[in-house]
Formats: sequence, structure tokens, C-alpha cells
Amino acid sequence: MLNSDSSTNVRPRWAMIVDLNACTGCSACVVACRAENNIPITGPDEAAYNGTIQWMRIERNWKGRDRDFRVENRPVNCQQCDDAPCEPVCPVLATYTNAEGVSVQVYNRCVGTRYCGLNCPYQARFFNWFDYAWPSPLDVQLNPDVSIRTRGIMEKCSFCIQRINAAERQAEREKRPLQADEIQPACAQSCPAQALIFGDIHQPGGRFSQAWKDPGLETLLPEVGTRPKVRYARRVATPRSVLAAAPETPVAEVEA
Amino acid sequence: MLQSITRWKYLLLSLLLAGLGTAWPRLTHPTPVQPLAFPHSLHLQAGLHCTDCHRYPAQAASAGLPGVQECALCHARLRTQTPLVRQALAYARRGAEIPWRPVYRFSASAHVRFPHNMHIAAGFACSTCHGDLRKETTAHLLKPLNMGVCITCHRQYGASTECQNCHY
Repeated sequence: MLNSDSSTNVRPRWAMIVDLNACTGCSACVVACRAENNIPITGPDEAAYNGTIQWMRIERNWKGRDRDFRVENRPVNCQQCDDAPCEPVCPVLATYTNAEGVSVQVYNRCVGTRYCGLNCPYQARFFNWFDYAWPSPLDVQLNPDVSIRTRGIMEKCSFCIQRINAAERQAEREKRPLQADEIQPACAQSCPAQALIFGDIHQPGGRFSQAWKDPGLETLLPEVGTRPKVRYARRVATPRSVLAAAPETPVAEVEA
Repeated sequence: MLQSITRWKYLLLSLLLAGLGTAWPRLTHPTPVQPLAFPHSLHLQAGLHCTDCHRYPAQAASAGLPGVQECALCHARLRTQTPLVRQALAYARRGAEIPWRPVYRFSASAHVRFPHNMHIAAGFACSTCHGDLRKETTAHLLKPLNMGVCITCHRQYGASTECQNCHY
């Protein structure tokens, strides 16, 4: 960047923590992402061929059995892997991890081989099989800061790179360092339960960089060795069978 | 005989390719014919500045195009009888906008963004890319909008050449 601030030599490294205890599965993030990033509705015919495009999805996992049966809602977007399996297979280098740790997709470079999509273990990449339309008046809602992808292009979650760029440029114009909480992707901004927490791993002494080191955080498919930059705080809940076995207290006593 | 014919064909083909090569920028980026030949020169000579009409190059990514109502701010009283102004006022009375044809525009397949504000903040003048419009009527493409032009300048001034800096 122009006139990059020399006082902060360490470039930020963006990451996300998903708190599965807080997530209610309301799908606000899914809708917000669609609106922010001009994600097309591919329609029922495409959906039948698994051709739905959604950068953020909620996976419903049914856990436990009998009375301990419960649902876990897991928001899954591009995991922004440090060792991304999608990147080395691209013959034209249309996807790479940039200096700030975001795995970016360069639309104008993509030739649509779809190797990256096949190699992604998280099914986080989506291919534009057609030019999708926003019939009027839907075109009015398009975000001017994001490209409209055309046919033959792979796309995926970019950690809202347009917002990162905008905030960094604003800080640069005002000649000040970037603040920690200045950037929020659309999903994190819309989450009513604040289950999606976006931040900078490299920020010294920051709350996010402290939380990021928590050994209790898990990643998706750790056996693949992708080292994702999206980590999940496992859901902790008292099993219903334990609750049921607890001695019942009369309501009157509780209220007294 | 046969050989000489193929030779002629090659010669013709190479000539055609050479011609196409020189004409290519004009073919891909022809200067569009505007609905109304707006005289930039007259306005700038009258003492107006670029940002009096294109208001936001320092604040926003887009420099902004004035609506016809903004033309009417002055021209409701000023030089109302000249043919171009009468045309513009006719648009304004109808409540319509002048359908300007964009001159500096990237193709959709380039998937690229140009933030005016960053380039103004870096100290570039409008004329660096848009030329000296004091001498021209409607704008025409001064620099070919290809990546070579962008990258050359970005390298020269030490700006980022990361893909996602512009392509997103």
C-alpha cells in the first residue's frame, strides 16, 4: 500500500472464531453474506445439481441420542486455510493467500478449471455455471463495491475483502494505524448472538489474538492438515439426562 | 504457382494482423459519441474546477457524475439560448437524465476497482489520467485502460501490486 505505516511493521492476519455456544442457527449471516457479496440465486434446477452458491452456510449436526439428542448449528464459510489445498492446484494462480492471510480469489484470472473446488475439503468454493441475472428491481440491491461474477468463474468467501480494503485505505488516508475493531465482515456484523468474531491474530495484546490461542478451539477436519483460520469454540451443554436426574425443586421455592 | 499463392496469403494475413494490432486499442475502446457535446474547455476556461461538478474524487471511489439538475443550477439563468444548453434544459424539464456514455470504464470481465480517493490522496492530479480538458470538448480515452498502465505506475510509486488490491 502507499505510504504504509512504518510504526506497525507486522501486517495484520485476519481470522475468525465461531462460538457454537452462541450460534442459534438463525441464518442471518447467510442472508447478510448474500446481500453484501452479490451472490446470485441459482434457482431450483441448479440446486438439484448441487449448484447452489452460498459462501456461508449453516450445517445442522444432530448430536447424541435418545433424551440427550440435540442440534448443533455450525456456520461454515471458506476456512481461509494457511495450507490451502485449493491453491497449488490452480494452473493460472487465480487463488493465493495474500500477505494478510486471506485466501483470495482473483476473478479476472480464473479460467474455470474447477480444480480448486474439487480439492477443497470444506466444499466452500462455488462455480458460476451460468451468468445469473438480477431482474429489476433486484439489481438495485447490488453492492457496487463487489464484482458481479460472470459465467465460468469460481467464487468463495473472501472475508469481505472489500471491507478490509476500504478500512485500510481510510486509515491510510487519515495517516493513522488501523484499529482492531474497525473491520467486520457482513456475517459477523449481522450475527445477533455475536457468535462470529472477526479479528487480527497478529494484534499484540488484543482480545482476539489472546482468544485465538485457546487450545479448546477446534478446526474442521484437522486430519487434512489445512490449518484453517476459522476456529470453532465447541458447544458445551449439560446433557438432558443429567438435567432430568437432578432433584426437582418446587417452583415456589425458586421464586421465593 | 501454388507456392506463390500461399506466399501471398501469408503476406496478406501478416498485413492484416499488423493492421489489427495498431487499430486494436481504437477498436476495443472507441471514443463514444455523447448525446450532447459537453464543452469541458469552455467550463474550465470560465474558471470552474473539476470538483465543482465531479464532486467526490477525494472522498469516494467514484468521482461522481453531475445530474442534469446540477447543470440547471447555473444554466437556468446563464446562457439559456445556446443550442447545447437548450438541449440540456429540455432534459431537465422532462425530468430525465442525459444518457452520457462512459469513456473511462473497465470491462465487466476485468473485475477491477479504481478508487479515485486513494489516487488523489497520493497527490495525483486529475490531468495525470484524464489529460488537459481545458483544450477539449468531450473526454476521450487518453490512457489505454489495461493492466500494464496500472502496474507500471504502481511499481514506479511503490504502491501495492497484489491482485486483491484492485481485483475483488
